Amino acid sequence: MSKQSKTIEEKMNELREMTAWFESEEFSLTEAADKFKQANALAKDIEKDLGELRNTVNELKQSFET
Amino acid sequence: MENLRLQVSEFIALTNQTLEYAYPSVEIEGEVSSFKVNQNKYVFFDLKDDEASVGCFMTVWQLRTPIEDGMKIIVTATPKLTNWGKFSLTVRALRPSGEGSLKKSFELLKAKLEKEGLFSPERKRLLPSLPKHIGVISSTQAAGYADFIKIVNDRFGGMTIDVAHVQVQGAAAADQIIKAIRYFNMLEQMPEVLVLVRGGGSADDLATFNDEQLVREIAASRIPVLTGIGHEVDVSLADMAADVRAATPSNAAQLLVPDRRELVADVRHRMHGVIPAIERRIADYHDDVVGQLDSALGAIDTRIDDVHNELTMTSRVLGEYNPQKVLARGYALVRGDVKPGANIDIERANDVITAEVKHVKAK
Repeated sequence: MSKQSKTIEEKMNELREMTAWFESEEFSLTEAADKFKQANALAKDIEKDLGELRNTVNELKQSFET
Repeated sequence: MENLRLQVSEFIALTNQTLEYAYPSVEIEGEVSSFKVNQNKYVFFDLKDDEASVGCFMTVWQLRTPIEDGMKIIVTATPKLTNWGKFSLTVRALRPSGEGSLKKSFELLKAKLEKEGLFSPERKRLLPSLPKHIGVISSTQAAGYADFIKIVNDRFGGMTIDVAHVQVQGAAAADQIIKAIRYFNMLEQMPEVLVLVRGGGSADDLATFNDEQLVREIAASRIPVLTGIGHEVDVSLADMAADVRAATPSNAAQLLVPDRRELVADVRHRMHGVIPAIERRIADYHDDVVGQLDSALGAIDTRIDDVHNELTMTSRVLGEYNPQKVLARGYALVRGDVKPGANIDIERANDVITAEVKHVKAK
C-alpha cells in the first residue's frame, strides 16, 4: 500500500464523497478545479494500491486434532 | 484356562478385557430398531440385519445425528458384557449409511434445528465489504482450498488470511472444525469473517457438514460465517446455519472480496463522471445568469409601461380641467364689475357677449 495511514475502503469512501461534491449543493465553481485535482490524485492512488496489494496467508501452527 | 476358577464379576471383567483387546474399536453396519432415549441422557437401540441383532448403548451427547427405527447406520463401538451378563455395543459414534438414511437423518435434524430458529433469516449477518482479516477453516491439501485461495489472491489483496488446517471428511472432521471455530472466536483480535471451505465429494464425505454440534457451533459463532462446501447442488445444514452460503469454494472467494479490476473500473467511472458534472454545473450557472438578466429586462419593461399608463391617466384628468371644455358643455365665463349700470363680458364657447348689469341680488 502506498499510504499505510488509510485503507482502500477509506480511500474509496473519500473518493465517493469527493465526486459527490460535484453534484451537491456545496458545489462552487471557484473550488471545482482544486477539488478535481485532489480527486484525480486519490483515484490514481487507489488504482496503484489495488495493483500492488498482496495477501498474507498464514497456516496456523495449532493442531485441531481431538 | 481350563482350571481357572473365577467369580462372576471377575469373569465379566476378564471377558471385557479380552473383548477390548480383540476389538478395541469396531465398525458395524446395520438397521436401527427399538430406538429409545431414557431420562434424556441414555440412548438404547438394537442394530440388526436379516439374521442377527445386537443391543447398543450410547449417551445422548454422543448422538450427533438423529436416527430412528428403520434407518441404516454404521456405528463405531466397543463390544461389552454388562454386569448383568448382557452383551451390548458401547457406541462412541454413528453415522447414517446409504443415501436413504443420510437423507432421512438430514431431514430429521433440519426440522429440529429449523424449529429452534437456527436457520432463520433474521439471524443472518452481512459480511464485511472489504475484510482485512479472514479466518479460513479447511484442509490445506484439498483442491477446494487451493481454488479458494487462488481466486481470493487474484481478486483482492492487502488481507491477512489465517488458515486452520482441519480434516474435512471422516469421523474426526466435525470435532476439528468445531475446535477451529472456537479457536478463532476466542482470539483477542478476531477475524472479521470465517470461511469454511471444502470441495465436492460424495454424500457420505459431506455428511460432516450435517453434524448437529458443528451446525450449532456455526450458528453460535460471534464471527460471521461464510460456507463454500461441495458443489452448487450440495446444501448442508452447515450452509443453512451460516450467515452466507456460497455454492462452491470458488464462489465463496467471489462473495468474500470484490474484484480489484471492478474496483479500478468503478474508480475510473466515477472520475469520468466528474467532467460532465462540472459542465452541467457551468451550464446551470449560465442559465441562471441569463434567467436573471431576462428577469431584470422584464422588470424594466414593466416599470416603463406603468409610468406610461400613469402619464396617460394624468393627462386625461388634466384635460377635464381645461376651461374650453367647460365652455363647450354650455357654461359661460363672466368678467367685469358686477354692479348695476356697469358692463360685463360674458364668454361662451364660440363668442363673447358684452352686457349691462341691471340688477344684482344676493342669493
